[in-house]
Amino acid sequence: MKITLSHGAGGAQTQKLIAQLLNVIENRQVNGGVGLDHLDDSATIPYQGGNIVFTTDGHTVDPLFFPGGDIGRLAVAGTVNDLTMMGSQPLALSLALVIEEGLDSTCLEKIFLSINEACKEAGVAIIAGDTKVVEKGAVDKLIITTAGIGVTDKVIQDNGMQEGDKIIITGEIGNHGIALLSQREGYSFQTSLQSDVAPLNKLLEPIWSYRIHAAKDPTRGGIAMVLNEMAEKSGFNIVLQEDAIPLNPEVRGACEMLGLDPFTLANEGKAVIAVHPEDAEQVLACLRKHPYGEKAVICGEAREKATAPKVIVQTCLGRRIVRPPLGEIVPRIC
Amino acid sequence: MCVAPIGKILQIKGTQAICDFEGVQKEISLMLLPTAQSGDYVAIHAGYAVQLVQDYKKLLQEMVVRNVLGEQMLVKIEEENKKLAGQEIRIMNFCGTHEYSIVKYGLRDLLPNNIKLVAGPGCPVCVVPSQEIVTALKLLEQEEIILTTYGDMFRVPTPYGSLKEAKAEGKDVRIVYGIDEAVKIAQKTDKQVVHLAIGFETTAPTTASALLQITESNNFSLLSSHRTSLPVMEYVLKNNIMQGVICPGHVAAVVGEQAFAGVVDKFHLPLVISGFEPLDVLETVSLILEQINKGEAKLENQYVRVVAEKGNQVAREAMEKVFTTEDAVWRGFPLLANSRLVLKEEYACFDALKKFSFTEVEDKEIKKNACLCGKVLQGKHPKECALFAQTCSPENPQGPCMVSQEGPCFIAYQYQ
Repeated sequence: MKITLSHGAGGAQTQKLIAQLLNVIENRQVNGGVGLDHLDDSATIPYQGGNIVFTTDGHTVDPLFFPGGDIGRLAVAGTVNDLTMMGSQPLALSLALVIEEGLDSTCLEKIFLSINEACKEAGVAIIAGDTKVVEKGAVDKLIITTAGIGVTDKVIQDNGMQEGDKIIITGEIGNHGIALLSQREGYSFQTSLQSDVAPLNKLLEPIWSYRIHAAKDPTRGGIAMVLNEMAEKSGFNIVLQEDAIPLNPEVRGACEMLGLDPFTLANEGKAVIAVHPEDAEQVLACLRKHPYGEKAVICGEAREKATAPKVIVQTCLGRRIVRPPLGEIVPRIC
Repeated sequence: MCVAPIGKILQIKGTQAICDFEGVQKEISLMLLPTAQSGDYVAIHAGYAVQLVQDYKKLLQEMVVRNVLGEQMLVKIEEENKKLAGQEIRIMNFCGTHEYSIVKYGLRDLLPNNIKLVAGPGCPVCVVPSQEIVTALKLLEQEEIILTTYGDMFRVPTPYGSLKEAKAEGKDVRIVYGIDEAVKIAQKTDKQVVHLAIGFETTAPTTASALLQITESNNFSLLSSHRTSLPVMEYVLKNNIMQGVICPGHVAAVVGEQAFAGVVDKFHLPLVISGFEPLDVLETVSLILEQINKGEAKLENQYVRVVAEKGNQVAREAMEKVFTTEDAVWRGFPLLANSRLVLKEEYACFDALKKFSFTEVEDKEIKKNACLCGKVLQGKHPKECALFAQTCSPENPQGPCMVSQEGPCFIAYQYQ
């Protein structure tokens, strides 16, 4: 089999590929913590009564600078968010750069200023790093690989969702995906949309004291992907109200225009949360106090146990099943 | 058969216009709708305005009260259905976008059990036979070309792989929103650019118009898999029993209402040209049921806000100028007379096959698997296919009906 871009698009094929590769690894877990088998946002190592939370992430984006952010902010936010979705407090990151020969150094300086800003915002430090330069053409401009470490007493896992839980989305979906797509050759268009790329640890910090059963950041593959993961790992169907899901009119317009499904578009500053129904309103109120959570909504709930759990969307008239996206997001004409 | 979102013209610059989609702006071509004015709402397909939209404000207001209207429509369907006393009614749609709407809004769930909405061969991607994609793949192998095509085509499997896999192997395959983007790519390179064109009478005029606008180019050419919609509609209705037809609204916007009159005469069925909002589809179903109950069989136009009696003459003329028809095989169908649009002799300079002295791969050269997509597109249930859910799944599709989110196999797979 040849690897295609779909294998990296975050959908079902990505999952299948990594599951296959990871099979080879025999040591998969430390001290009974969350390990490779869980394919969660981060791993955990139980340590002295608490948990060390650890993750790694590779970042590549075209273009390096996009409306609302750049690869630097993306790298920090992505790593911080993976740590955050486990309920942890992120502490520190490492940065490894693979730079293509010929990249302008001012470009790197700009990216580092942005990394610094994002770290300050999230309250994390960069404490280790590595730099490699490769021949022209060996990579496309720049790849940033990070590792992140955090700590938590209570671990929030993907499989923790329970029957009756309310589903919260912290804001408008798809803004990042459309902002990036607008820059692409072959179907460029003008939009005032900005990527939502942001570290979410401060937004979510106040809600961990409530009964949060699962949390995920819907990056590649969009909410279609993470909702399916939550359903599958917990074994419960999820029912969503389509009208409740926050959608920027420009995202809706662009999706109409290109024939795309906003559920499959990437986000870099949103969380999907499953919370005990009695706590849902309070959690929502907490989220709405933070600028990144102003448009948070309760938009669905976990329903009955199922052998093949599904994500079902109630539309204005009927209902449909949402599947994990397959492959890259491409516009359609029919 | 074709996605045609509605945008508002903000500004006209010669033959181009800036169009607004709820705040997102895109440059589109007015070549097929030269009379459009600033402020008009237009239906846009593959980067070209294809028809004016009347009463767009009214549509927006209707959408606000969609729930109420939807319920009224369902009550009406229920009333008509009572008179049918449980008789099974099969209504076929011939447009992928109708199927998309039916799936997206979950309309099948809302209808009485005896009313079956059947997806017909309305997806231009699904009906292109393997050999035409294999031809593109072989051309990519033989020549140093850039191949452009529409996103829908990218994943369609053939026994020799897909365009997506060709790209993974290093071939230069690019997805475009419309043919104009492909022409732009050609203007910026010395390489040969070949556009694999698919689609029915909504897309074919955009291809024709693009070619008519090229005055000087020796690096742009075409593989035409364009099809005409009437031959397949007639074939399906001849070989399958349907009680009504939801006619493709955007094809009708180009060919005009009257183009379908002959089908009614031949098959004595209710045919309703329909819009694509969920309410449009429900209204169309109720109109068909009403006709059945009255014992009528006529052509009705539910989509008057876009479809004019005569269609879009400019678009038709462009298509007729550039293309002629030939008999062609469709995926899962036998040879259908006059069903493929190919370049006329005068435009042979744009014919990729002639340019590269390349012969199209023939049907008999293609290894066949047990895929029944062709039959599924005539109303057969996907479960009757031996591959279904065995070797064929959305992750590993064996045929086009499992590729597209609206493909009958893809849908059946989810609900199994």
